[in-house]
Amino acid sequence: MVIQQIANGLVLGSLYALVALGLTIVYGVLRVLHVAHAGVFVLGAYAGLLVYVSSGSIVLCLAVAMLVCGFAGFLMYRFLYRPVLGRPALIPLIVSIGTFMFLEDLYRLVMGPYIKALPLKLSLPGLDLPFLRLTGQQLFIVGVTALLLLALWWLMKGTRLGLAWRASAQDMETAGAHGINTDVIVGLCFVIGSAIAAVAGIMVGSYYNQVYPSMGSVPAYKALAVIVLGGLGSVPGTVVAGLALGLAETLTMVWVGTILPREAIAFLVLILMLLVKPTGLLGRAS
Amino acid sequence: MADRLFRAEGVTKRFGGLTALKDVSIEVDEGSIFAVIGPNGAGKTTLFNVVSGVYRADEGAIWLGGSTLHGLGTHRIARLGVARTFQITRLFKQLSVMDNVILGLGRGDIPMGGLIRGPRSKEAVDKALETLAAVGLEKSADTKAGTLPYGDQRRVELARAMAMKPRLLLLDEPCAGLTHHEAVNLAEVVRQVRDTGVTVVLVEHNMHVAMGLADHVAVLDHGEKIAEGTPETVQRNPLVIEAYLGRGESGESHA
Amino acid sequence: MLYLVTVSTMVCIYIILASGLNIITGYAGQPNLGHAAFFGIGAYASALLTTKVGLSFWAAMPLAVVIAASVGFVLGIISLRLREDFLAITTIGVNFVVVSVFLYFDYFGRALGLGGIPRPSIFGHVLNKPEYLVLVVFLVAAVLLVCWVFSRSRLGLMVSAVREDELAAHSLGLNVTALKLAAFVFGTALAGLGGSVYAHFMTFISPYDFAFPVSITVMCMVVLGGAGTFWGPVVGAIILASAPEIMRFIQQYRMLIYGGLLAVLMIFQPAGLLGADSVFVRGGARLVARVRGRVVQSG
Repeated sequence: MVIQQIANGLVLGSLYALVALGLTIVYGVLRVLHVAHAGVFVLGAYAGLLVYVSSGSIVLCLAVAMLVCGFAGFLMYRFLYRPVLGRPALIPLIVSIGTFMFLEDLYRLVMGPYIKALPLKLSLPGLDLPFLRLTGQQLFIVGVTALLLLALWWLMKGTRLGLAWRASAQDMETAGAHGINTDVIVGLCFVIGSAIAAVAGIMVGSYYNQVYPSMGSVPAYKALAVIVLGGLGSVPGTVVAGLALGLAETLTMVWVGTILPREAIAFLVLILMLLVKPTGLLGRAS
Repeated sequence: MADRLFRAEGVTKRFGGLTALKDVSIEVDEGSIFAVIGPNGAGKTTLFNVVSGVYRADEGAIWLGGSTLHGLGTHRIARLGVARTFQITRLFKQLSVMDNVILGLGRGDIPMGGLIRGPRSKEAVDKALETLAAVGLEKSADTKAGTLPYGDQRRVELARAMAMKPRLLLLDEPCAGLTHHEAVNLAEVVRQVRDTGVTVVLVEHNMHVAMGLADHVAVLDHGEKIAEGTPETVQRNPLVIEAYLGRGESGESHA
Repeated sequence: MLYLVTVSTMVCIYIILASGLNIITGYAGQPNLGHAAFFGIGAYASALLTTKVGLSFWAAMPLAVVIAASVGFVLGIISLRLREDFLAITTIGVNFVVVSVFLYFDYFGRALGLGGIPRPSIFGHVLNKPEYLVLVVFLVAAVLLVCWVFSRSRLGLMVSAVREDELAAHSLGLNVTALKLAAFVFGTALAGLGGSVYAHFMTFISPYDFAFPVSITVMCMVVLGGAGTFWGPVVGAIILASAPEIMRFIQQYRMLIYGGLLAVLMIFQPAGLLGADSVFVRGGARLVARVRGRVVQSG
């Protein structure tokens, strides 16, 4: 029972980590809280839905959604964030929130306000042990998350792009002075982060078998809580925070019952944590 | 022998493993100009930040007249009569030059009833204009501070600090970023400020400015005071020549 | 007619809310994306004090203001410890948590909200909607008077100095801590007042009236008009609160327009319609200069 709940919590946590990863990558280089990331996440879900319904191929569905979202992420950087770089942190944040609300309403108008089903047909076996049952879909989610994390880890540690990303995250100006085209690096961060958001959108959509215009509004702000808990800009921190939040929510639901809705738990934990440690869970004092 | 207005005794400040200031002591006579010089990274600005309360010294004592400054918050120290300027000018850019200076009047210590009154009383405006006239900027009173040329911004910052009628005025590289002509003008203003009875401590990277202005000079290197005295004696001190003048050219290059 | 009264009352309430947010975000420069939480606290406090405790509107309203301001004081204390962007997220969090509390406790009526909130009465006469609007207009006038005094006071100047440069403000002897707290208390008190006025106007409130999108709407008003100016939030509130009513077709696309407007304004016109760098203000100044020039030439 306990092991089952822990497993469920970790599956949920993987979803949180997937959504928050893109935010972390973007925050790392730009110091911008990219709320509109959740708009990309919903776009990914809808793109995946449309492709899956017409083709029936999971691979194609993931690939097209990642391409579409990657491009959308690039456009957001180019036309929303680049013009306001260097302004006080609040300005890009408000731009981002405004864009997100715009997108949510746009999805409602274009796709209709109704919930659509996204029944991905996975021919994956589930896990059926006496103390633990995981569906093929849950295993798929954990597997994809792990795969993406590995890919990201390789990208960060093993490639020139990763080195340039870390240099830009440390000091954009110095990186630029040493011949790193920071504009391209930041653009790529948006593309990669948004492509991950597309996968997250499809995963969440199929996990709950629901795709709807406002499916991003809770993840939008909860992901912010996750990346702050993770110390802002730290990829491992984000994954730990995402998993921890998934666990905490699942376990409080089981043992304490629904005192408060999940969103409130995330933010309560966040506010309490910030009071104790204003620099974030794994963050260092500046 | 003039009275000692300011004393720092054995001030030490560490950041993690780095000791930015190590057992630094200085004494400043009332009504004098005291310069702290040294190469980049010698701990000059750290010393200012400790004195004005931005950082708290790990060890040591700091006195202004008869009262200790150690451990007091920045605004309390300011209210005791310590005014400062910053290495990179920190004006209230969206506010007018006049409002910048008016904010300095009264050292921020305003009785409750005064809070809801307008800041531009006849008395305040007169005082602010007088202070601005001292730095030659009375014509720019209604300009937004952020739109002035940089040299003028430095002078507004100086006027804002002077408006506090401080006992001790800390100037952090007042001539940094100024043209030669502007720097000469500013030095003259600093002398006039001293002549009104204000004690001035300035940090300078530029030896010529410091030597020309100061009555007394202390030299910092790697957070330690390595020499002190009149400009002439300091200039001849071999330790100083080695630590500072000897690599003067390279020191200048990353200013 | 009654419809016009309703719209006018809502415009007035938004003016109070936007003026309050303007103190915090416009003058003191502190992000607050959870203003609706304090709007809600004021509304629920006033509603509970009248329906469950049995106080009159006249006693409940000031108490609601004090309660909202007290919570605002706590948020202010939190703000002292946090960086700007962390604070922004925290205020969003406060909004979500407060709405959740309204939603999940029986005492607050859960999703159904609270009903039966009485309209205020004067000498035994219960005010109807148009009469209530008169009262609200007086309240708005009082609020604007206070804000006007604030914007031209020494306190207002000192708070603006904190927004511009905290360290420099410190070095001039300004008590930055007290000034920030004052801004939070003042701003959230106004939100509480707006909440009380709203509760006794609607006579029925529910948690979603105070959800995060409402915070964004109020922020939109402040930013559109011009943060840190006296008239900015007033103009912003009038435009954004009445536009969907005047142009009914907008109603459908409300958040699309608000969201898009907020983003576009922040990119191209962050000072708002009445802010210092606004095209309107610059255009106006140019016009004045040209007219003056002509007068001088002809004279």
